[in-house]
Amino acid sequence: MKILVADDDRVTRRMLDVLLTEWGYETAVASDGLAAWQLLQGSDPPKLAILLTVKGSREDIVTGLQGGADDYITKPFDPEELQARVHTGYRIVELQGSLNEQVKRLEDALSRVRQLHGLLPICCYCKNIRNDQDYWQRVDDYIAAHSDVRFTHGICPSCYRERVEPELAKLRAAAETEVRERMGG
Amino acid sequence: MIRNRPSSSEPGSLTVRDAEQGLDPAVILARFDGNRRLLQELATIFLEECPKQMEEIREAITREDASALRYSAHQLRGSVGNFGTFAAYERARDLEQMARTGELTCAADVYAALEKAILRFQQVLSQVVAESVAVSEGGQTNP
Repeated sequence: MKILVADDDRVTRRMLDVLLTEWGYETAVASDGLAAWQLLQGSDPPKLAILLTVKGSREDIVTGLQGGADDYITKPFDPEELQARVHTGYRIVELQGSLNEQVKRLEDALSRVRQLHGLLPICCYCKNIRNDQDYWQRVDDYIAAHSDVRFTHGICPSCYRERVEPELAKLRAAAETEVRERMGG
Repeated sequence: MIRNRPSSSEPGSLTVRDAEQGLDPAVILARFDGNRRLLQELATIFLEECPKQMEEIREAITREDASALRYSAHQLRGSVGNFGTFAAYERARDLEQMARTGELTCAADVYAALEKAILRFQQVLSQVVAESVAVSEGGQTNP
C-alpha cells in the first residue's frame, strides 16, 4: 500500500518517510498542499487518509474528518500508535476493496434476474396477462420472459378428469362407431 | 554528510529542570526506539531548519502578522515535537495560541523565552549528533 506523506516540516516528513518505509509501506512525499494534491491526482492515489495534527486543534480535526480523512493522530505522535493505526487503516482499505468486489458481483447477478413484482393485469377467464406493450400473453410465456423460470408441461388430476377423460371417451366412441360401420352393422 | 558540531555543553551539564522535561539525549533516543541513525539524521535536519523557522517567527512578530506567526510557530512546534514536548515546544505552542487569538502584546516576551529554550534544545541535539558520530566512528560503519 502506498502512503502519501504531506507535511511542511522537513523533520516530520523525513521521520514519517523513514518509519513508514521501515514498516514495509511505499511512500510518496509532499512538502506542501499543492504537491500533495498533484500526487493525489495521479494514477494510483492513496486510499487512506490519516490526519496528523498537533494537540488542541479541534477544529482542524473536525474539518479534516469532514473533508474525508479516515482517522487522525495527534502530534507529537507515538511511532507505535501510528504504526498500529496505519495497520488498522490498511485492513479497512482491504475490507473495503473486497466488499466493493462482492457488491459488484451481486449487482451483476441481480441484473440478470428480472424481478417479478407489482400489479399484473390478468384476464379472469383465460388467465392471460397483459404485458407492458399492451399485449395479452399466456401466463407461462409471461413468466418465462420475465424470470429465469423454465416450464415442464404435464396435466393435473382435475384437468385430466375434466378435459382428457371426455376427449378419450369421445375418441373411443368414434372408434367404436367406425368399427360398427365397417362390419356393416 | 554529518557535521560534527562543536558542542558547548557536556553531558554532565544538564540541569535538573531539563531532565524533568525529558531534555536528555537518552530520553530522546528512547523515543526513537534506540534508532540512533534516524535520530541523528532528524537532529541534523532540525539544526539546519531551525534558524530559518525562528527567523520567520521573529519577522511575523515584528510585522504583527498573526496569521504568519500562527503558521510559523505551529511548524516549529510540530518539528520540536518529533523529539519530545520540551520547553521549546511549549513556548512555540504559547505563541501559536496567541496568534490564534490575535493578542500579540506579550509575543516578544514569549519569543525571548522561546529563543532561550530553543538554544538549549539545539545544544542537546548537537550533543546527540556528536554522540551518534562518536558511536558510528567507534565501531559501526554507516554507509
